[in-house]
Amino acid sequence: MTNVQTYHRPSSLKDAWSLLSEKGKSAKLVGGGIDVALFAPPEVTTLIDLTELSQRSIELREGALVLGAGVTLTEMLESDVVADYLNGIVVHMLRQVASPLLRNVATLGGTLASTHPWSDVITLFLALDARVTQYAGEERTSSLADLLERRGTMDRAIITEVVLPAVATGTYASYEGFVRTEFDIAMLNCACRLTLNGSCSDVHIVFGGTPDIGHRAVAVEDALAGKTLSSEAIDAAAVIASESIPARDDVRASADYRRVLAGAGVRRCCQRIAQRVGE
Amino acid sequence: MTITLTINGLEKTFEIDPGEKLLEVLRREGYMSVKKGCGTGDCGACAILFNGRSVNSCLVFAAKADGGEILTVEGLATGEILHPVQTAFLAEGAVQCGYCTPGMVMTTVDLLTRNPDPTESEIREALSGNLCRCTGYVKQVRAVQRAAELMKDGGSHV
Amino acid sequence: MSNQAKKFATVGKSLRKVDGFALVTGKPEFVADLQLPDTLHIKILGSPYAHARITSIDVSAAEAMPGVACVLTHHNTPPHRHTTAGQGYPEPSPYDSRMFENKVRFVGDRVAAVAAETEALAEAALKLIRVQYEELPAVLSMDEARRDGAPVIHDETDSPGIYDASRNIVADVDIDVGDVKKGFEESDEIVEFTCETQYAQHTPIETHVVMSYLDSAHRLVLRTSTQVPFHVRRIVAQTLGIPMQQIRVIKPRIGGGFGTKQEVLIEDLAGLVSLRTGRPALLSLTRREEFDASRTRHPMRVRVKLGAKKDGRLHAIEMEATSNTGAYGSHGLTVLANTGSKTLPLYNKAPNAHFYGQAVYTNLPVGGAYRGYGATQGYFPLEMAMDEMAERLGLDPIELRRINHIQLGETSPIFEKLGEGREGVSQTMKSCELPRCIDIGAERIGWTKKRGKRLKVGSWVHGVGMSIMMQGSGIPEIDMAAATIKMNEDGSFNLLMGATDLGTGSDTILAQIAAEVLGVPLTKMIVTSSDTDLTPFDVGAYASSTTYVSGMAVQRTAEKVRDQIFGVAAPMLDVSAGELTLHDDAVFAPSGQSVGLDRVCQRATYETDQFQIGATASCVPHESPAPFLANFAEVAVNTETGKVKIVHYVAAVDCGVAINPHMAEGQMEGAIVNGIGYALTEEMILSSKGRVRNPSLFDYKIPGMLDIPPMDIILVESYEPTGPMGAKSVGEIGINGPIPTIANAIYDAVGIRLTETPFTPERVLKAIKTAAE
Repeated sequence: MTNVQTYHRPSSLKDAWSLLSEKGKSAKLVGGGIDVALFAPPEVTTLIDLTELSQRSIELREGALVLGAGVTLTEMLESDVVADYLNGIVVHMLRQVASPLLRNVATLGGTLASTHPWSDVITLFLALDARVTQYAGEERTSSLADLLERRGTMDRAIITEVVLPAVATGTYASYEGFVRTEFDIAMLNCACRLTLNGSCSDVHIVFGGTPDIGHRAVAVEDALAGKTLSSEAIDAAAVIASESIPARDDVRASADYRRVLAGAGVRRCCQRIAQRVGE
Repeated sequence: MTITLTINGLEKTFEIDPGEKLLEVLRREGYMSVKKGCGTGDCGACAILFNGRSVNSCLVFAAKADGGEILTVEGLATGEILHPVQTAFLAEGAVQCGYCTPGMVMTTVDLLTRNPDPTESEIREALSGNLCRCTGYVKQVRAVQRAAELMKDGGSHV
Repeated sequence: MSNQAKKFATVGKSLRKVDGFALVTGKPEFVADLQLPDTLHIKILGSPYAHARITSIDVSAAEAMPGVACVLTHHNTPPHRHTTAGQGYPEPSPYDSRMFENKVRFVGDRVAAVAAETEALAEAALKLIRVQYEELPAVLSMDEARRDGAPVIHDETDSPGIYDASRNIVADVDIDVGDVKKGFEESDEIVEFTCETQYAQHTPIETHVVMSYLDSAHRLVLRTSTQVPFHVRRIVAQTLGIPMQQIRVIKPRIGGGFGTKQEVLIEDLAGLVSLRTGRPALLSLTRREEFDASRTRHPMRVRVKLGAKKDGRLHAIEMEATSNTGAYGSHGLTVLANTGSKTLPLYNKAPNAHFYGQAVYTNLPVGGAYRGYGATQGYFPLEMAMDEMAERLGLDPIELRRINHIQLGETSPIFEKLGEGREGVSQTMKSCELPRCIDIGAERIGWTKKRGKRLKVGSWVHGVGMSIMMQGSGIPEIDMAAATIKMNEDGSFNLLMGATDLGTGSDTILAQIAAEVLGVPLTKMIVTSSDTDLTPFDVGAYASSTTYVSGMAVQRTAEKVRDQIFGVAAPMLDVSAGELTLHDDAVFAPSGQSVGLDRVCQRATYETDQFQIGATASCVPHESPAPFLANFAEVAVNTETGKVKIVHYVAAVDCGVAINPHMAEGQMEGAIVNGIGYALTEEMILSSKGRVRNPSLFDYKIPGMLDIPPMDIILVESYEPTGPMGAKSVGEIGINGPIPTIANAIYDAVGIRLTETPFTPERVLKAIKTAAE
């Protein structure tokens, strides 16, 4: 990073924001700093480290999981509060992210702001209907999905908080990532959240790394809505997943194989939920 | 810019370029145990403890660490008396070329500080970000298990 | 401890490495850990094209940049052709490389180099170099290379040693025993497979790195991460056109090699910068450059055809190998030859055999030495064909191996027909515990219980497979190793040897051999290795030669010193030298009377008939005794995703006497895990323009801690009478196991024969689906 000339560690949100708005494209926000260290373009001359803002809270508020943007992935992984949310689905997913060394540094806010299309956190948090609060002079909250629609301007505001909403009883979630070796990003990942009271409702299915960023697979969701989680229904949904995801070739996997993984992902996610319900 | 780091218990102040990472800075300051294997966080050879956690020093801005605590392999042994993790790695034959060893050792120190009695599965997970091409990892897992035993005995012997 | 080793005091024990303390305390022992003032940093400009002429190159802006000390191109560097292959002189590789040329032959090939005050400045200066290229049509596959009218990659007239440059053929090998054509006609059953292996890279965790500087006598010192310090000295002298005695090469601790550092890749650049500027120079390849521009495994296409009689005896074996050696021919001939020379002798019962093949140039990354060295590629189709043949004949795969493999006391005509590219050396097996390796491995994996059962657990289907193999120990009649021992008056010894420890622990193992002979504990040996000024010659660490060849040199040296000690001690104990024994730091007379080694050396140093107790001895091996290996694996194949999981891997290896069991196991464990990566996940992916698309550990996936199956490594001891303390070698053989063993296990599970590596889930699934149709 030879072009960086100043490194700020502002102690208040207001200070951080005024630096960011002043410097514009020549500044980058640093959460853990991993993505900045790896990918920041040469025009970046100012770094704004958010560590001192200490947005490290993890709490349950009326069933909703409220996470400060500054928590590290390790802090989330080790938190009893996070483990309590939706049968520990967040912990289950975080185990598969990167390596412990990277998780010790990466922050939740930074991870979302990186908008990596293969991000396991993004895929799951989309399925969980995450809501993200940003500060850009004033606070605004939007769904993660909406935020990603506008991801070109993601780093023009400071993520302060992420909320995973309270869920109705009978809500389950599961997550599956397909990797080459275990310390790897996903060739494709799949997250599922649904409410099951006999039949499925409020079905959220997200595929990420297709290689595109996480998107709701509406056709698959529709296929499951109103059905029981029978093996026939699961198989049918898996077939629709294979046929409908926007898969493409890249250096990690071919489009054809991603379609196979999409089917396998839906099958495994749903079977896991069905098993848990059965218990 | 100027930063202050407590490295292996000693407070040190020095000049850095704002964009530098801990890896370059530590090596320039003479901590040669911190190795560069890839520079991109993929291999873990550069692992050190930052505020008690094992991190890829190639990806952590030195300025971010300002005021923080760093522990490298140089800070483990006292003279000729090795830290139990070091003793265990030697005793189990877990060191071949030794290039990944400092990173492995520091991550192991992190693990055993937090989890003094890890299962084999927990050991493998904790060290999953430290790559080795020489050993096949077999003796390294045994070394961590042995280190855990040594540390439980309160031992720290050559 | 082994039965043989029980009679040893030091050998056969898993003693701690002599460099262990330094490594585990992070001492600054690696090349880049030495920081010298005024060091220049070197960066290389690599070609963006796979094949092009450099029509002009203007470095004036780069040279003018403040902080730039010098810029090198083909305009201002010596033109001497050489090979980069670290092999004995005269090297069996073509002299087709120059420091810089006005032609580039692969993406990443050298165009220019800059030496500057900092790495950042050097990189910035690279951007100021103006190069005009005339792009040439590129050869991007082995088949394209040999087609009529293919672009000629080495069209220069001054590169000797190329078999047929006009057809891009680096090497051609063709040897036969008996008459295979007739042999196949006489066979009852014939099986044929053609297998293709991929581009793979060694990925040592420490990349190639060299620090060069001029010492006070103005000699060039190269402190380099190398497996071949003496070849570096010779080849750099040749490349730079300076006298060899002006160069000193030192190998300190290095971070792995596996063959990619059996190459003189960057020392010439650093050396020339130091000579021109008078300053120290550091050149460290980036991880990306390791993939693009260092060395790789040779991708190969290998066809094996077996003919057998109904009773299971092989009657004819044919192996045809085509090897992609990339843009330069380093190790091209010898890796090709080893594909046959390390595989075919295993099945010596076949009276008819034919090995032939070619190594061809392409405008792609350059193949070099990589652990296994051709045998890895050759055992794939050979052991798959044996597996299939067993099925055709209605025999258990193990049984077919037992009927046909070489046994103790036997030989194979292949040994003398095929060596390192030319003829080899005849030998008989003086140690061979392969039958026991097979027994032990089969039992450990649960062979009879599991073979053919196709146990199904959800979408996972289980299967077991096996393979056997041999390798060699050193290059007979060609390799030479030497050692010097001198005694100190406190009873300690300096052991100086050229032998190269790349993390293998050879410093320790060789010191154990010396300590054994000299009757002292390992701690009495002070080891200095791999310094061309201080240590005697050794070819370096390759061909699994260190324990067998360097070890024998050390043993002979120690024996000479022991005899000198006896000569000094005899009058002290008033007996004849022939009656003395040496153990526990002392010389013993038959009566039990003894004198300490310190007293002996004090006498020789200060008191009577003073002389330096010390000696040098060498070893040129006359054979290359084979280690033997039986591999067994249980896999689970997921029929939904094609993922292959290894449930259990067993390797029973006969490496002779294991001088240090931990080190020997460590070699096997590391080699097997590397082989598993090569079998399942590692693949350099090339673009349609010959560029590496995944030049990083992010997308070139090597096994990590969570990828390792439960493994059993069993050292099955034999005693090799020609080896030091009965040892053979163990450095390479393990890496040859995983591909054929896993392939055969996959067949047992799901009935498909995979002939292309790596066995990615995508490939496996495709094959399962194709078979179902």
